[in-house]
Amino acid sequence: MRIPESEIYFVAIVTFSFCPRSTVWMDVYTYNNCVHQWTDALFRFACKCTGNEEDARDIVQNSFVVLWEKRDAVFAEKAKAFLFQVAYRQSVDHYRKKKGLVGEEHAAQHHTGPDRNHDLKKVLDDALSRLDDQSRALVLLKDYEGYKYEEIEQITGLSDAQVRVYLHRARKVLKSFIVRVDNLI
Amino acid sequence: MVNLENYEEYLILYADGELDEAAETVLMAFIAEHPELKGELAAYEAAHLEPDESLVFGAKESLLRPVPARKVIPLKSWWAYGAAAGLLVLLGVRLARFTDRPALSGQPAIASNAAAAHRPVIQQVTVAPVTVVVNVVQVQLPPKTTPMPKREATPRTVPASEIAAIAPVSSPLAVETMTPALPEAVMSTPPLATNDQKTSSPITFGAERPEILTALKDAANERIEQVRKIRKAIKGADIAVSLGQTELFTLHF
Repeated sequence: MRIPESEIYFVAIVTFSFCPRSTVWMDVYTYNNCVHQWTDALFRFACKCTGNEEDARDIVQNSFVVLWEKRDAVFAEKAKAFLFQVAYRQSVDHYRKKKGLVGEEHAAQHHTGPDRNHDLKKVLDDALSRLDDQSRALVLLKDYEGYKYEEIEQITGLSDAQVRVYLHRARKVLKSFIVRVDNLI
Repeated sequence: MVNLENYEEYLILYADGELDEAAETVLMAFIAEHPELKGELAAYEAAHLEPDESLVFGAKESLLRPVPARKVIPLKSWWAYGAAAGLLVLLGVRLARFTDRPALSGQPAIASNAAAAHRPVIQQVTVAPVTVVVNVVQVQLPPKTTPMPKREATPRTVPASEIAAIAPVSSPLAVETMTPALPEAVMSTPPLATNDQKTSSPITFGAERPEILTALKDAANERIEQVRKIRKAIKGADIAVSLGQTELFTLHF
């Protein structure tokens, strides 16, 4: 039986109207919802990656500008991963441009020598600053946002083996800082 | 397979939540076998960062995009628009229902009853049941050389073919019912000589009223069809013909 074209258009229009927004491309309303949902999380990620709030704001603003420009090619449900992907790439580029200076700044700001501060959070933040930018970004994606290894691969563009190597290296460093503090207690 | 060379990788994967249930079971069994590794497992579980909620972007409004203004069309007489919309919906429903029905204009008129209504009622003949007893006053039997035998105590059997010679007659004795074969005799057989002077002659209208003749012919044909149906139905049955209380003969079909 041949289905008339009017019936096909009617079904398509009704389906498009009632399907959830996450399955459709982004519009201005979905974009604004992403701003309210993910701005702070993106800012925390950029702050920890760069160690500088001003640079982190620039990264966040650039990330949302790119999202708005690419809104016709991004599904609403993939917006968060897209934002963190852009922020990750800008953070890595930021570190590449300011390689030597940033490392020294981090050492001056966060290094506490033989750790006397028993606050676990501060110890971990200190340990985080000791990591390389790649491992730091992966630890933040894993611990701050709860992404799985597979999702981290898609965001960073790294392979499964690379993600495991960087993350396991970072965990060992963090664990060594904790053990060292425990031993000093 | 967890061993002392690769257990640390399994501890990190377990702390990151990347192990499936089967691998977790194996790892827990290995830890149970090596209790000294429990402290190391606890250290890896503690080596996870918590989001710093104090870091807030602040000026989110600068990131928002303007929403296009909605056009407001004032309706001064909204009730008129509502009534018009309701009327359109009603017309649409009616039109849809009308188009779903088959074409009404193309249906031919029912002619069978109309033609039958114009036919004059010639004779009301009730189709008698198979076992009816018919009172026949005068019967003209074919001449015979031999004297007519005395009427037997038991009625004699008359073949069905002689029934065709029986003509309907009016007599003092009322004819309660008429056999289905009589109408056929009216049209096909010549009038029979009877003693009754009141025997009606065959109906001849001639050219005076041809339409009535046609109607009579149609009615007769209908009766003939009824008779044929009845003859088929009564095939194998018996019909007893009697005069008053006296049974004259029995017809065996």
